[in-house]
Amino acid sequence: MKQRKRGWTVSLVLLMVMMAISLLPLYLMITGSFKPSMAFFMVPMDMNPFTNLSFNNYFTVFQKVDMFKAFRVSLFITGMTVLITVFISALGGYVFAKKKFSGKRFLFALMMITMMLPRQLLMVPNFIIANSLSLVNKPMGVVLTSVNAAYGIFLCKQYMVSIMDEMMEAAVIDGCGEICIFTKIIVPLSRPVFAALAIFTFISSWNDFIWQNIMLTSKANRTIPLALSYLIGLADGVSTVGPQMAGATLSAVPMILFFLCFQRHFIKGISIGAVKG
Amino acid sequence: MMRKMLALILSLTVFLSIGSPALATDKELKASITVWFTPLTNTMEKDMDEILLPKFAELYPGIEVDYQMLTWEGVTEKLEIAMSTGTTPDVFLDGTARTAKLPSTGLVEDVSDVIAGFDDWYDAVLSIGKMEGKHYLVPATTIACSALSVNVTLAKELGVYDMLPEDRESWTFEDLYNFIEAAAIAGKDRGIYGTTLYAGSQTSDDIMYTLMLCNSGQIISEDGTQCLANSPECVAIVDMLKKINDNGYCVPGAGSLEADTTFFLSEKAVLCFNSPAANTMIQMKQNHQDGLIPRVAEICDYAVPTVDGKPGMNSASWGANCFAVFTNSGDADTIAAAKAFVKTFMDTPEMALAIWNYTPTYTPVRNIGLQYENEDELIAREVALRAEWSGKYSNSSFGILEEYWPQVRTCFYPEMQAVYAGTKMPQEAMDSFKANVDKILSAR
Amino acid sequence: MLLPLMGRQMKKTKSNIICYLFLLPWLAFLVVFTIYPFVYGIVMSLFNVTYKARSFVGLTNFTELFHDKMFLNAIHVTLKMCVIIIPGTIVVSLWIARVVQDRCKLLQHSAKLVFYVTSIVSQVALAIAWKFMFNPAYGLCASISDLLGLPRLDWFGKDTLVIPLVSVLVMTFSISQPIVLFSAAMDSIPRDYYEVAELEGATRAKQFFSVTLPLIRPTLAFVAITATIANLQVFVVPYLLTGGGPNYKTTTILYMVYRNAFEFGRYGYASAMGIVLFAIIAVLVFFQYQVTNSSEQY
Repeated sequence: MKQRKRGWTVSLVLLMVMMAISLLPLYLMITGSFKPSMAFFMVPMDMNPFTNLSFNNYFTVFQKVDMFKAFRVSLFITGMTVLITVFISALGGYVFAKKKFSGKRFLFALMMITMMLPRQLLMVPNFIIANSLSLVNKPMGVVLTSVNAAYGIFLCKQYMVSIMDEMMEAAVIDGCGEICIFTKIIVPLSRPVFAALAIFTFISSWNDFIWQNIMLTSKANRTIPLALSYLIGLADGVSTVGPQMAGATLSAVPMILFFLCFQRHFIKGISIGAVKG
Repeated sequence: MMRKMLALILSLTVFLSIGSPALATDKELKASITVWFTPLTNTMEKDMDEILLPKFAELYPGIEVDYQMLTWEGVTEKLEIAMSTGTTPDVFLDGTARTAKLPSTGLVEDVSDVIAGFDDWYDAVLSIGKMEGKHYLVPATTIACSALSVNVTLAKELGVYDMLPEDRESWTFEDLYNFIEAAAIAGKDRGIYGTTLYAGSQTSDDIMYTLMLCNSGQIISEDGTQCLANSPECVAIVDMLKKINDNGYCVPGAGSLEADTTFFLSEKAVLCFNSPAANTMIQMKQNHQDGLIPRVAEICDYAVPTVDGKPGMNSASWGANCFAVFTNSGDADTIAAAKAFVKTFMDTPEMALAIWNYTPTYTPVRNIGLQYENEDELIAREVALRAEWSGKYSNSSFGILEEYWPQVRTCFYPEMQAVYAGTKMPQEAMDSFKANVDKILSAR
Repeated sequence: MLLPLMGRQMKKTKSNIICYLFLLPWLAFLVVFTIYPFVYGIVMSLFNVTYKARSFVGLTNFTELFHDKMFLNAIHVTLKMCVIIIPGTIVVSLWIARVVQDRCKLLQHSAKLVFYVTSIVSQVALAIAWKFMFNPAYGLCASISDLLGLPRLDWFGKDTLVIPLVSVLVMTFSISQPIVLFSAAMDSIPRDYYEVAELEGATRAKQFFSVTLPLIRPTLAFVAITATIANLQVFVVPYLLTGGGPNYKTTTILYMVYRNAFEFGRYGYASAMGIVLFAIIAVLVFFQYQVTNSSEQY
């Protein structure tokens, strides 16, 4: 018993160290948001959480950047992306998990392949398409061009495979058609994996600066990452790291909240799918 | 007869009332243009809305302007994609990093007529964006030439101030090395280094080229076909830097340090290679106000040494923040409208002044008597000095504005990293650099 | 005789139609927004692309690639990093998930939150944090080495140190999703299995290998495949931290693609690089798939 306890203590200590290292950037981000910009560029670096604190950076952010508008735009784009991705993934995952059809192997391979393409190369042709479909500078355009459901389909497939066939057969006997099976059996049982997918998609969509920068051109359509990037170089001739940290902290809050809210479902979800998969 | 006279008088009046030839307005010009610009001041959008656009609307009521202010992050991707997909704006204002290569892409218009419409250009500026005798870029504000800066307060405290040239310009490379060495030795107990050397990225490499040029070295041959950076003069510079690094006179970790002023601002280094004195003092004042540092030191600009120790440095300059007019569909009215916009901007000194006041290194392009304003005498003095040097010594024609230069830059700093890490000797590193650059030049 | 056959055919066709209807949304997006760019990318790799014109050059880009020392170096670098990152990610996240398994809820939730939060922190903060930690002149590690009496290491300057360092820093991101996935998978294993194993005298370690691991095999496969795909495309961390240095020792394949596409304007050449990267990923994933899913029916 003693050996086990000692082994566990060592593991725990190691885990704590790793958590501390992982948290360092977050700590810097939050502390830095309350300090003058150049605090990071002093030798030695001013990381003390009790000195030189002020809300100046936050005031600057709200002064220079229309955070509320940006939040609305980001919320719309990310929300729609999540909805569409989960919808497509649900449909696709179900079919790959439970059904047989000709060309299944080929399509599955194709789906895996789409996950392997480096995004940098797809930006130019994607923009060409977006341009020809008049999607440029429209939030919905960003949504449509950002949906990449391959990961989601793969994840949903893993999960749904474990849903008992018997339940589906029972539903058929009860007179349920295809759509009915899907909506009354599959979807309710899959809520957890949908939550998981929602979180992953939310994070990648919310932070997607590069594509938003290319697609959204007018002031009214600025998302949060875009709006915050205008802070760079906007602090009266001095370094602007402080307001950037403040902006980054503000931007992180919705993501953390989203994660915390959905965490419960999220965990239950992956478990069933992944274990039996 | 009367009618003819009247017509003549009327047309003469109209002609005379047009004003300076630089602003030939055509109130009937109808077009709509898109303008992209990077934030050269901290209130660029406001300045545009309040100063430039009203003036422009008055002069050219028929032209619609749709502008977009870009952000410093992601400009490269945005511009590249626009150029690759044919969705470029009509007017583009940005620094040389991106505009320098535009003339050779064939996507921008000949703007020699806009250049010709103004006089009193500083000489150094007129070679920017010139290709085969025609101008393809209109410089809006020049970027100051590169030079050194010294923390004079600290130098005096360490007793090495006398080693600096009185006129700020007359010294040799040996003097420079001796100064750095003396400062490092004197400051050792206090944790103060002579200088910071950096090769962490390609940023601020212009001072490196300046050092070589001032030592009579050449980077690219006159005809642009081969690299000459492995000549004895250039290698001597790399040797000097290596010596400084190996002897511990500079901040450790040169190969991975970024070209920032961290050590200089904390008064842990006496000499700085990559930031003008005025900028440093402005930053120090802010830091002092924020309670981060105990005092604001006096920083002074010093010229890069020359071979004979006399004034006349050959200083690499990034050229200027320039306007480019994209051809796009080639519609004559749109292009004329775009050029009109550029002309109006150039004729609005308030914009140039706003840019200069925000960033002291973005100096005016024409000698029209603009004054840099700062109640601090020291800062104003240093800005004026740098601007004067830029006018006299700036050199952007050694290749820094060519379309192959971005590739050349990416080959340079890794060689310096190898030198600082000790994995390559200076001659070897420069030979390797030359080989890479020759490959780039031959692929053109 | 024909009728039952036809009936089955019809049923099959009907089933096919329904399946494809379900897949329709995905297929629509696929064709418009994914396949076209992919084909475009492949085709572009056969051209020499400038802004105004493109000229067909066939496989020249590829032959040039294989003689390009920088590109070969990039492949070398990427593989060196992934050899550390991919197994590292799997092992570390498995280990963390196991350590918090069956412990108090607080520890579980906080571990998941902490490691997940690393993936949403601003990149600027990350770059500053790490540069601060590992700077040989005034960083955290320098102070620690002084305390312990060890020599100060130039983490970003020496090639032997920089690759492991960058790999580990990439891992701080890459473990976030696997931790949650493994944690959840382990949570749902019925406790009875462990009780039986304990009764049979298995130590905790043996329990892990004979009970836990086999039961989470599908998650393991999923994580292995997605980690491979994601980490062979490593780019952001070297870009932020080392600028591809020192002396090109952290220049990965995707870094080269980015450089050629956006800084040098050589889109055709960059496309060829992208195709090679894609091929490498495809080969590795194919092998992983064969190994881990040999019993699966598709």
